[in-house]
Amino acid sequence: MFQVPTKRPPLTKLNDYSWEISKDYKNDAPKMQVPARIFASKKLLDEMDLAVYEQISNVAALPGIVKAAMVMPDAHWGYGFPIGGVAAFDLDKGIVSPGGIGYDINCGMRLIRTDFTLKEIEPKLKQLVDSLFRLVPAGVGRKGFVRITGKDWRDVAQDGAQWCIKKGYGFDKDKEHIEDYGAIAGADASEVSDKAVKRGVTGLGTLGSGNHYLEIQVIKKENIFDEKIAKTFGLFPGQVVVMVHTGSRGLGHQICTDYVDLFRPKLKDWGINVRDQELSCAPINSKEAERYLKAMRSAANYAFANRQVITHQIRKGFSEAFGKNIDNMGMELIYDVAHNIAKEEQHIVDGKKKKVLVHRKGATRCFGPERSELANIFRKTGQPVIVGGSMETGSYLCVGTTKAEEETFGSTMHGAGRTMSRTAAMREFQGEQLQKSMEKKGIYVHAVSMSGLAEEAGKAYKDINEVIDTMDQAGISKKVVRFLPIGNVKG
Amino acid sequence: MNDMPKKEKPYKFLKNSVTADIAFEATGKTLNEVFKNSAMALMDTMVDMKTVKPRLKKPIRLRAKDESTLLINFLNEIVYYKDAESMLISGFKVDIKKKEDAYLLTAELSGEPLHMGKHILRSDVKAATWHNFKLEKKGSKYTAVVVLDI
Repeated sequence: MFQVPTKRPPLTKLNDYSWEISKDYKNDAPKMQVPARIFASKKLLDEMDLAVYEQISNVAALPGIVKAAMVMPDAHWGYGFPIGGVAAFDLDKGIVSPGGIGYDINCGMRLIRTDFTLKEIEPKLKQLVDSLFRLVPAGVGRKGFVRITGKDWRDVAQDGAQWCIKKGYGFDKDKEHIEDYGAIAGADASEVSDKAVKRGVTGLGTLGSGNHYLEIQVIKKENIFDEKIAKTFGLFPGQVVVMVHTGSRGLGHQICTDYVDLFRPKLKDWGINVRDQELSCAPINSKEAERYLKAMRSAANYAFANRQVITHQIRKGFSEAFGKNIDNMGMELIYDVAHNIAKEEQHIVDGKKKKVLVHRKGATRCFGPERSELANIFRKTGQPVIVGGSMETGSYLCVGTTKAEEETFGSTMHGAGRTMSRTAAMREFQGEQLQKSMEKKGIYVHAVSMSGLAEEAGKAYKDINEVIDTMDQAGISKKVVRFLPIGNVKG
Repeated sequence: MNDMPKKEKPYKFLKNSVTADIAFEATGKTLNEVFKNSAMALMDTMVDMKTVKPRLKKPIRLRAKDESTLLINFLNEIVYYKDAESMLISGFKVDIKKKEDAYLLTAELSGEPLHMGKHILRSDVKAATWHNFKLEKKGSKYTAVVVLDI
């Protein structure tokens, strides 16, 4: 059983923002193959869950891992991999681990701009939030309005957000503003179980619960850190934007459950010894891994489609509230990023270009300018990185850098990161009180669950500014704009 | 005078465990009981069970090579009904038998379809995970520790 250590392992300081656990730290079988690297300011390092060090050094012991197992500054204790974990594996000798991606495959963030200013939104804020609460179902076991059948599901698995756009749920130009154009290649719906399909397809266009949300946010003048890039993205002081955090719903969850089930009993045959059962994995060149990757990509595309349908509903909500045409409110997509995913990417390992399978679990891809995967519109700015903070403290837009490709397999943080467990937060905070105090601060929340709201209290999270500044100063992802919440829909 | 043993809570949520998720410890005098109590902890995470009437029956059968796999599969089956059939479960009759090299579970679950206005909903569970998982028997007591992904 996984033991949480009582003290931190010995760390070597690499610079002000990164620290290393030597690969000698775990010498018993299965021993660490590479060092573990922690990206954090001294303050965040001191606050980090001790379980994170344990978990990331367990990841460092997986077969075929290259360079280092890494955690981003928002890291915290997860199951198997820590949340905020990044690991890349050699395509011949390495593995793929569903627990290194997460149950919520392609959980991710979406940011939509508007032409509206705070002044215009304020008088109708409550009405708008209530209508978005109605249009985008949230909470346990909810169903969406887009009903898809067998053939449609296979198309969604293949074409992701592009399927939605074809069906009228979005603008054609949206696709350039989504990671992989909203449709990752190599998906195959036939590798997804009937159970996963039954569980998941009804969830298209729903938020879910936990830390998932839909938020209306505002840009203050003093929170624009790179005016040039902000302008390029169509962002300005006083402007209102909408942020969405959700993933592949029951479909992705079931795929992860199915494939952990498939891999776990086969570990012995593959000669793989893991330090935590939830790290169960398959050799990348096995048939089983190939099947999982096809299913995982199907779920990823489904998640892009989910956020696309939600975007359509958000545009509809604004259109109803303000009596404007859906395409006449400047509600264009800034970007959509996955933060629970594995992808084959080219990186420099030991001084040579090499294709590896990068796992990001609660970590965002952050490619710098000129990277060929990016649409032309981002070849000068670098890839937009959307970082969702707690519902009380604000969120960020950053851009990726070339340095990230050298240091972190082109990855950075995905959020603020929790410091308090859900169970502890539920005992500490009370949903109704929190809702009232947030309203006093000018944040109107419409939530399905009051206990769920309490679990998401701002104080249960790390200081997002510290997290963002760590990666900004480390040169991994540069901050562009900070957004403050004014309205929130929660599960 | 009070020499009556205090009735032990069938499950409790663990405060100092996985930060972003929920961990519980369930106990029972029999394997059937620890399974039932684990299922109750799972449902308690998602909904105020007092609001869910056990009026529709849902019989299930599962088979696994060991008790641990059977428990994880049992919990994930309940999670599955919540999404696939919008069914919230609040009644659990569990019967586990060992047959040759496998464990068989027959259960009569009961509950009702999710209704937003009626049920007090909490956090959605994505899965019961293997992280930190424990199912053990000490003396005459079974204990299960399960981390739920939220």
